[in-house]
Amino acid sequence: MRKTHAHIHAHAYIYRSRLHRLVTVLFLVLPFAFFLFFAEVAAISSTKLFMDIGISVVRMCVAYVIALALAWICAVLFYQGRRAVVALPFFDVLQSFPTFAALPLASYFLGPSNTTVIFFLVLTIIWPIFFSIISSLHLIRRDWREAVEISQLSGFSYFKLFLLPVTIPGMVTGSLIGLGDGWGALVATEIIVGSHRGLGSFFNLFSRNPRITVFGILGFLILIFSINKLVWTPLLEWSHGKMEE
Amino acid sequence: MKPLITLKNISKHFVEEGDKSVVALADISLEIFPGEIFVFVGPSGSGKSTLLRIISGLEKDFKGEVIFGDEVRQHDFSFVFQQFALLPWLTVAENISVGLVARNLSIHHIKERVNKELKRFGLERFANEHPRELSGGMRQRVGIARALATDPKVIFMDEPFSELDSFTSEELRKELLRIWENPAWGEEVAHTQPRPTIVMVTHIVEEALELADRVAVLTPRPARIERIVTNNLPRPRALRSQEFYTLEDELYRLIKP
Repeated sequence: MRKTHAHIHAHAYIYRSRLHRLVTVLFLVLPFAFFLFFAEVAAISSTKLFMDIGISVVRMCVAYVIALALAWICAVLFYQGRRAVVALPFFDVLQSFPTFAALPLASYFLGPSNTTVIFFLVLTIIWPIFFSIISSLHLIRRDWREAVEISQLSGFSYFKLFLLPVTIPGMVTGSLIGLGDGWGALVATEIIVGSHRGLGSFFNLFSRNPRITVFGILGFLILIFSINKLVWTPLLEWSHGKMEE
Repeated sequence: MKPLITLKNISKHFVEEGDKSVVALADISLEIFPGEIFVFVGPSGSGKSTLLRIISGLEKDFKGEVIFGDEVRQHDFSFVFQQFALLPWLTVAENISVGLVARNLSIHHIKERVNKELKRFGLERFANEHPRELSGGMRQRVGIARALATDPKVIFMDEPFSELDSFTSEELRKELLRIWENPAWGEEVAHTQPRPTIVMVTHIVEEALELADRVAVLTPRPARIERIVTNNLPRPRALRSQEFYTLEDELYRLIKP
């Protein structure tokens, strides 16, 4: 019975009302409807438009997963003790490194490949996630840590019951900021490396057509807004709610 | 009787701002015996909690020795914290199960044991709630249930009732004594289980006398043992008896602010 109650509660939390459910569907449909309309008005191939969006989204997802995993591992390894004294200033300098300065050189050697775009996306996304996880780890209460130590939790149980939950708020907050930077970096990287596919290539192709560029940017914003409303806002509320005492 | 815990010349100093060294504990030696309730009292800031954390192994930076009897390992310890230290992302049942999960027990065994603790502390209705949905008293019930779930031989308690109102605190103290006197509660096959040893810290004299077999009075910083008072009053203790008041007066005289 308790499980059912929790289940209902979780749903009630996501969809507060019928209107909320309708708005959610709208957020799912709106970007697609807009892009279809846009392709029709601008007389461009909707297949090409959706292919470009799809490729960019996939690149973003791959880069995000790599950045998240790397940021989490580095944060857990280097957030405290002597390692932190050496590593944190080093990471701070690294995050300030102007990655775009190295982009033309990288694209010269690696070409306009997916690897180049994803590599530079990872470099952009990783830092906010890394530093947010570090701050989550620093906020761990001493008595939580001691309760876990005295219970002798270790290995996978330690990861599942303690380390992962305490870092989730940092991961979500960092992801929000990182992906915010990432969308801009994605388009810029795709343009600079001269990628033949993706949103960067799309904007590059229509760079002399202000109407298409403006509508493209508008569609792009609608897409990001929808993803934010559907994924990140609920995740942010959920993750911080979980830590409430 | 052989002591379960022996402290030999425990000292601890902190380095404060400007590299100034402050001595918190100075040369503390004593013995704690199996099955007794041993309570440290002392003025605020005397280092009671630090001493408890040293004995339990949570504080590793100190001088001196903490020696445990052969039958005790780190595995046999549990701790009840002043501010409960429940993990907010876990439910009540999951919080109670943490120590059991660490011991790699079967899911069936863990569920059975968690249910026993939920029943013992009247928490069945709250099994799937999160700590934030509970009152302070209920949270500390979960904290004590978590500590007892692993059948510890030694339970460390750091001012476990100080965050609670006086009624809840009194109720929980009685519950703790009941459990200490009958640790095998709820077992299907009746058997005698040795009483756990409880090492507790408090600044409330009445609480110390209600629970303790012996009370160690600490001096103000740097903490030394002023005296160890034996409390032979029969249980359940009459908190308004002349004998209780006499002991209480003695402790108040010994505790220097």
